[in-house]
Amino acid sequence: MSMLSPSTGATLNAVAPARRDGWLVSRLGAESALVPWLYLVPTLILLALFTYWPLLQTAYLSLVDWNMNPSQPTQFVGTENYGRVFGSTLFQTALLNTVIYIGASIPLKVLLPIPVAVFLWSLGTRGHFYRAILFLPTLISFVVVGVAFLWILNPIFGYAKQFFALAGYRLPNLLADPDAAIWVIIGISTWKVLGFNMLIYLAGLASINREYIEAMRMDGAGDLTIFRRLIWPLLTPTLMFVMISTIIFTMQQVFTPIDLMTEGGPSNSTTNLFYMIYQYSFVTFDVGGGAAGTMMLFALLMILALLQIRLFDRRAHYKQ
Amino acid sequence: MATIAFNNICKSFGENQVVRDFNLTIEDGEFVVLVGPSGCGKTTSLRMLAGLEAPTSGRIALNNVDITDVPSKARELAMVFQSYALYPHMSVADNIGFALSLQKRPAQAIRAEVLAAAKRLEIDHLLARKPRELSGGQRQRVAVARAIVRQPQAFLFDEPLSNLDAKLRHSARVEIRKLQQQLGTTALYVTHDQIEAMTMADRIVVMEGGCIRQVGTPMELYMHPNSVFVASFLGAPPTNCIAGEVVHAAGSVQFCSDSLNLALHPETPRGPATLGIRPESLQPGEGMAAHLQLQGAVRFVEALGAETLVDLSIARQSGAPHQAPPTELTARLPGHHCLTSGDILPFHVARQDLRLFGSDGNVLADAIKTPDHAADEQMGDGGGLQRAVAEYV
Amino acid sequence: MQLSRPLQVVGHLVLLIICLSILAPMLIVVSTAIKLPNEVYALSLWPDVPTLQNFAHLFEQTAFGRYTWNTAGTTALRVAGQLALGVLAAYAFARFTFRFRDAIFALVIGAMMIPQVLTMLPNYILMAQLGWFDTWWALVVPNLATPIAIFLLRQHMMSFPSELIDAAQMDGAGHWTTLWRVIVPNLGPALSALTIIIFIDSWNEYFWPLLVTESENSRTIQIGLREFLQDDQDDYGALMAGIIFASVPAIAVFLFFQRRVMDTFVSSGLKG
Repeated sequence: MSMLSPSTGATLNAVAPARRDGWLVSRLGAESALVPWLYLVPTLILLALFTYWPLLQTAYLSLVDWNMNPSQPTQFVGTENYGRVFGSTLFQTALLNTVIYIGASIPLKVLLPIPVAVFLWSLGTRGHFYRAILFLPTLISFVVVGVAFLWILNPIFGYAKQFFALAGYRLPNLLADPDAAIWVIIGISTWKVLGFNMLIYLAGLASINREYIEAMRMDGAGDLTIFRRLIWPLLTPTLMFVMISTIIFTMQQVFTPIDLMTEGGPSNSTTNLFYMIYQYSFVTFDVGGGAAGTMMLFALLMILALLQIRLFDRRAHYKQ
Repeated sequence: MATIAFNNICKSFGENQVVRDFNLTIEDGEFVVLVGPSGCGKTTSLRMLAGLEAPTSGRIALNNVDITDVPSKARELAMVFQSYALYPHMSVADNIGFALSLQKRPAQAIRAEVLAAAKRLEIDHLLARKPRELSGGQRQRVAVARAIVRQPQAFLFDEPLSNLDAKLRHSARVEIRKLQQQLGTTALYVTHDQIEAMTMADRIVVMEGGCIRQVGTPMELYMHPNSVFVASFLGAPPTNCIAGEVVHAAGSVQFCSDSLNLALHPETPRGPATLGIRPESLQPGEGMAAHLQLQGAVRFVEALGAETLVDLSIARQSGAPHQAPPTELTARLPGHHCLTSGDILPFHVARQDLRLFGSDGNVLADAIKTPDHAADEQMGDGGGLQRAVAEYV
Repeated sequence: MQLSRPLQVVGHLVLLIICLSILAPMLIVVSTAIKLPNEVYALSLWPDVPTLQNFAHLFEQTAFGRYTWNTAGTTALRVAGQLALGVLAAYAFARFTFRFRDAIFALVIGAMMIPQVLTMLPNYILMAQLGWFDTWWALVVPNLATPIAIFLLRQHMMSFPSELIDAAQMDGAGHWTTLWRVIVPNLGPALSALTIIIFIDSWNEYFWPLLVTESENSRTIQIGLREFLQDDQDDYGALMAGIIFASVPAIAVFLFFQRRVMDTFVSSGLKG
């Protein structure tokens, strides 16, 4: 397609349904029951087409054998794909790594930001300088971060190598070490999202009325008591939000550094379920395997999310 | 330029019925005020006329055309809101001209009309400002200018003065009324402030609990309230209400309370009743024999300069039960008086100034009129006050 | 709130360490980018002869100009489209009551919690079927519905003073005019926050463009960087220049909107 046509086409697509709404609304009069639907139609169509329908379609694709070649017929194979993927060592490694990624994310990305955010909050406007710096990694793409760290960790000339050499320590090539590589990825993704999660906590803290704290202080409470009895309970809904989104999106977040820095290796030590699905689907074009992997991932995420909601529901303290 | 008719309007929000069987006709050029305590349905009625709420049942007509199902924007009505509802992102000029620009009028014409409306309200020097740069009084003027610029069929006002301080409120009252008279535009004005209602209205509609209690000119309502509610709602300080009972005994019919007895028209039905006395009807001194005579002990005096409000307590009658509290009344005396707490003063009230209300709260209009006392209505009482003060102070 | 002294010291220390660890890699990147090839491997942070040669090299070696155009164009379309559709949907949820409203709202918000990995296969196939493969269409259209925008805008619209909406109605404005001429102009902070979020999201997107772009037709900067990394492993000077170039727009947009966004983000909260 030419350079211009896709762009103008996309513009029309974005604006045209909207404009038609306006015309219809004025024709139908203000109170027609149809009116709200006209405002919703573009969004609903897009969500149905690109989010909900694909979920169902993935379930179907997981039951067929297909190599993504349009001329090649799809062949129904039942649950064979599931057995094949589940039995593969790649899946088992990826699952284990996924558990490690998520397990490491909770203390690093979910819990660590809390005390920092509370401290930042206690600084009030004097914390704005820190806040700006903490937000920087959010602005930078994962590609940029990955490339930068590839350079810093370059096994021969990298800054890290030379820096440790100055201190008399010989830094091994971390990315080539099956035991260490996954921790490099975890470290980088923590570096990237720590500030963002801290800001979410800051947002949760902003809704706490500071007068409560002054009142508790007057009653003779110390810092720890205030944190335990007031801040923590009021922060629980935010914590739950951060936890769920971290669990769901950690896999997506580490995809880029995995793809750029290790491509899943060495010897699959950094791959996760997302990367495995990507490889099944778009490297070996095993659509059935990719879809089966996706469905198993979906199930895992659902279980984790439900577990968490159950766990937290019992002690979630909602705001005021 | 319009007549307005509400016919059998009812409005419910879920289970909650906020307006019941509302019927009202507003004549062309009339200034009608809906007044009542908060939650009485006055604002909802106004919003139904505006088209911002749909009535649950009933019809609304503008110039004899049914507009019940006409959307708000097609009704050609203009409204001044309690918060003024000025668009914060638009300049004063754009605020005033917004409706005109939606009518796709040429920019030049809009500018001219906006300027004319702004001049009329003396805000033409503010046209370039944003609402947040204006004082409360200026915002209120912008809101009014926005309403008049469209030359609407009618003005709707939703408590437009309640965000102004007392001083501005007085001048704004006068100005709105003048403006409406100059333009001759029909206006429906909602307020909870009975002073606004009394001073601005051609006709007042008193509402309570979703129902109209009474409709009439301010003086009709003030002089002849049809219920305890209207009597006590209009006028400040409010009408003194004395609870008692209509007793039929030995050929006479009397109103009896703990503190007083009053002969009534023989056909007055028996049962609990309330006697209403306006504060200014309590005249000091001993009046004619036909007057209602009271002895009041001064409890508290509020000297306002031009007038003096005196809180009185009326002693129990000998027959009244001992635990009954003394009847408390407020009297409004013109001028300044040196009274102190504990002074005992005689008061009287002319019969025509008394209102008796039945157990349902509605007026018993004939109860006070006894034919043999008709003559009393001529008797003035200029010297009573001086006499009383001379005797007791 | 005043913390006790020792806690304050510890807090500042921890924050300083975190901030240093954030800034150090950035410093290294910038310093490498302005070094001549003979100096690239030196440890010093400030080169003897600072140069912009690496940036020139980047544009000679790759189609970075074209990638920038693709990225900027699709990002602009996405920002405009996502905001417009978000405003429309948010208005429907905020101003109307209609059948299934709450269920549909839950579905829309629920979409926020569905990671791309779960839908990528069918979407990829759909792009191929639609002939959108390697076009801007594929980069823009599937991303146009934005639950987070709908959620945030709905919150703001619901707290919008209802008398203003009534006033607009009395002035003769229908829903459409009220929305665009009265409500939207007053949503400044929320719209700027969303502009940043969408801009960053689109500018930095990796996974989806990796799947659906394959030539200069639609390839974005991020994918261009990947390609450059794989083709030219060792030209670290130009690579660092590339990642600076890729990062500047997002940082610039952020700085441009910064005050309003931080406040919206932190006070009203992304998640209400």
